[in-house]
Order: sequence, then C-alpha cells, then structure tokens
Amino acid sequence: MDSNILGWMKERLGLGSLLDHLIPGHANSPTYVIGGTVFILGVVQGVTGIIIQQFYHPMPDAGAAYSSVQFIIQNQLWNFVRNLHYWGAQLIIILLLFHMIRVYTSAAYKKPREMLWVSGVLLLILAWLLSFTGSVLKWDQEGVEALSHNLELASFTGPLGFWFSPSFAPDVPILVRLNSAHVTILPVLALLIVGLHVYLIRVQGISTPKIRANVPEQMVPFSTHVRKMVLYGSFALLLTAILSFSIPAPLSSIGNIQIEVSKPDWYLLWVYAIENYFGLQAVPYVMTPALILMLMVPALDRSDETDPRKRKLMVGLLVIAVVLFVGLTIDAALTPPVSHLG
Amino acid sequence: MVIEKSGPLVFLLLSLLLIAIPSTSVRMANAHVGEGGGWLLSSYVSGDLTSLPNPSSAQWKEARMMMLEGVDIQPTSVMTVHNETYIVFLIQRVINNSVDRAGALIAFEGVGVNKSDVVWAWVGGKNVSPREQGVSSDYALTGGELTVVFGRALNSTTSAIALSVGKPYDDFVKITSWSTGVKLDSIDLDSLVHLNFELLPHLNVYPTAPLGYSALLLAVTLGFVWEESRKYR
Repeated sequence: MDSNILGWMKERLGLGSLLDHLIPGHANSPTYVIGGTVFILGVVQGVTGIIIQQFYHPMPDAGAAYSSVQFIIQNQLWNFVRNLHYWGAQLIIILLLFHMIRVYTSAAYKKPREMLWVSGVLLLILAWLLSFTGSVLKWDQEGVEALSHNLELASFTGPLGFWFSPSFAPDVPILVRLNSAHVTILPVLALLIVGLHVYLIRVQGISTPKIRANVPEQMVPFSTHVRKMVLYGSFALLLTAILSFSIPAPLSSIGNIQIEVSKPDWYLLWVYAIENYFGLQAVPYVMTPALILMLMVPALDRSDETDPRKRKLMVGLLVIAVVLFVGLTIDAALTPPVSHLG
Repeated sequence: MVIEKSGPLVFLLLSLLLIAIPSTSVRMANAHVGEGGGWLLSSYVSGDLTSLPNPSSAQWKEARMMMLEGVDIQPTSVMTVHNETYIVFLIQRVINNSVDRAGALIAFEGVGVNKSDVVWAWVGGKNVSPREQGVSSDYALTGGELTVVFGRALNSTTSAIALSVGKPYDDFVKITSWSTGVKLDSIDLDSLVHLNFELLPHLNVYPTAPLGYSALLLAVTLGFVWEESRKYR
C-alpha cells in the first residue's frame, strides 16, 4: 500500500528523477548528512514559529509583546512549542557551523561548487539574523539590550542602516518591523537560498575528495540520503524535545531599555568581547572583513588540492578563526557585563 | 596569480588594519553599568543576605557601584543587592570627624503619606528611620572609611514601600551622606540627585553553556581535519 502511494507520488510529482538519481556512497556518512539534518530542523522551526505567532503580540507599548510571551509560557503546550523553537534554533546554529567546517576541511567549496559555498555562508548569516531577531521579540532585558546594540550599530553604518532608523517608518515601532523580518522577510530569503543551495547540489553533485576521484565508488540512490536525513533529523528533533522538557527557553524580566546588564546568546558572545575591547563602533569593522573573508574562501583557495595536509594555510586559517571565535566567546562569558552603548 | 597565492594573508592584514583604525578613536568599554547613568541597580544574589558593614563579603561581589556626592560634597559610593525577599544597601565614604557627626540616608520619593518621602537614615551611629519600621542598619569605621548598611525585607507589611523585581522606578531614590554634624531635618531632600531604581532579576551573566559550545566547536574542527586527512593516508 505504502509503496503504491509512494509510486503514485513519484509518478505524479516527478519525484523519480529526484529520489532515484545516483550519488556517491560516502555522501551517506554522518558528517555529510549534517546539512540535511539542519533542513529537517528548519522545517520544524517553521511549524513551531507559525504556532507561536498565533499568540505573539508584537507591540512594545505597555509591555504587550512581553505579556504575550508570558501568556505563551503559562500554557503548557505552547510553552513546550516555544521551547522547541528556541532549542531548535540553538541546534541549527551549532549544526550549521559543523556543516561549514566539514565543507571547508573537505574543500567542497572548490570549482565548480563556489556558489554552493557562497549560498551556505548566506544561509549561516540568515540563521544568525533569525536567531537574533527572535531574541529581540521576547522583549525581555536581553531582548531590548540586543535591540539597543543593533540600533546603535546601524547608526554607525550611515545609509546602510536606514532600515533601522525611526525615520524609515515613523508610525511603526521597530519591534513590529523586526517581527515582520523574523516571520516573513528572513524566512522567505532563507527559503529562496535553500532552494538555490539544493538546486546547486543537484546540478553540481555532492563533492568527492580527490582521493576517491580515481577510485570507483559505489553509487547509491538519493533516496538513501533522504532516509539518512530523516533519521538524523529525528535524532536531532528528539534531542531538541529532551532539551525542551528539561531546560525552558530563557525569559527574564520585562526589558528596561535604559540599562545594560545582560549578555547576548553564546553565538554572539564573540561580538560582545570585541565590544569590550574596542567598543561598539569596532563591530562593523570586524564583522565586514570576516564576512568578506568567508565569502571569498573559494577565490582564495583555487588549486585542485583537497588533501587538508597539503592545504596548510587554509586549514591554519580555519583553526585560527575557530580559536579566535572560541577565545572571544569564553572571554566574554567569564568577564563581568559592561556598558557599551554611548 | 600573486593574489591567488597571497590572498588569505592580504585579507588577514586588511582585517587587522580595519580593526586597528577604529580602536584608536573608539571609547573603551570599561564602565560598570549605572555609573553616571542615573540608574541605581540592585543586583540579585542567591542565598541569604547579611546587613553587616563588610563590603568584602561575597554578597557584594556582583554588586554595581554608583558614585554620588555627600551633603558636604564628599564622594560617596553606593551598592545594593537583594535576594527577592530582602534588600541591603551599602554606603561608603571617608570621614574626617567622629562617627557622632556622620550620617547617611536613603529617601524613597513620594511613597509616604500625602506623597511624602520615606526616609531610611543612620545618624551618629544610630538607626533613625522616621515612619518606617523594619529597617535595620549598622556601620563600621576602618581607617577613616565609614561603611553604613541598611537592610529590610522587600515586602514588609509595616512599610509604605512595596518593591517589585524587574520593575523600573523612575526618579525614585535619593541617597546622600555627611560627616559635618548636619541635622537630618535640615537636609533638603528635593535638592538631592534623583536616581532611577530597579531590582534586577536573576541574570545569567556568567553563562556556562558557551563553554560547552566552544569545546564542542573546537573538538569538531580538529575531528573534521583529522577525519579528512585520514582519507588520504
């Protein structure tokens, strides 16, 4: 019966060409399924986000936004959905970093897959922005401080920060616009880029280390990869559910925009450390080159070599970047909170 | 070709240059919250609090210090902590005279009868808190430095002041000190600096989760490098 339904769907939806096309067997190893696991978690984020949005009130006045989050928390089911949404986002960010490190170490960004890398970097940025805007929406102390930093950063970037300026839409509170960014602009952009990413994987094929290029490798149907995606995605979802049951998503007291007493979430702590050392104004000067450097990786390493042992400079750069990220993160976590806003 | 070979180095240097330019002109972020900001913030401390005049005790470790002026224009530092049931204020200053001529007060704006201020005061070694019961105070004088503490239950049934955690109170608190024998009644409370006040909730300011994420990230990076390298052996 199942196979009949699957057969019917394959025929009517043209899934045959998608599911039956052959991919190298190594693409089903765990490290090559991280991207697919993130995709599954992304779908869950969409569903949980839609549910939360039914009860969320994006108005900062009289604490409506904060009160609506409190309402969500007071309901056992919606609170669990909110926890799933929070932990899902945490897992997506860490898994995206793992995925990018795997792609980098296996040199999967090389010709002809440069645009796959670029679209992956853009997706990482979008995930970061989605998580950041999500943290602002709850309108607690951490949220309003994140927004204050964001607004002041935008003021440093001149015309580039016009969207965050109150004069852009004087009658619409910034929280409402950030909410629209979180639930429409950023997800639509993410969907478009995920589409491009998947299309490019289909067109360019899954990367194969050069060591295997001259050795015949067993080819398997893409449907086996989909099964692995669902399997690992289910594991990730189970982990998310366990975390959601055990550790509630954070919500502190209602935000007081005039004080600075909290720290950002872990994936932004490195930025917080830069603010500690160089001030808030330094952040664009650090993030912009870092972003350009990430996007330029395929252009910087254009040889055919995929062996990490022969790509010492590139692997060295990766280790330096990770050590810097980790070092700054730990530094910011262990030092007392300080004021950065002028 | 040259760019291809030296590209990463060029970008790294460019990044360092871009970081270095603003760092010379940017304000260094080293001020504790509350300094000059007009906000007196009472940090949350878990566990029991004591009203002993000992600023080196553990409960003051995470307190945010605020500098004010005494009635005699002498620098006066203020810290406050709470544990959701009890609140303690610690006031410190240098005195040149005997304790008999010293004093310190905390006034809560307009919460008393007919919107009068409720005052907690310590004068000449004694607790003097008119119209306010349940306030305890103590002091210590060490090498000319006077430390005065005030403590009270947050939700005292005998007090006009009901304080809620996480709620901002604008222009709510006035604090001062003196060592010149000024009488409490002669102090013009309206002339004192009005401070905004908030009892901070429990904030995870030393999160441990980032340490776990960091360890994971480092391990995964080294693991992937090793794994990819292994394929070529």
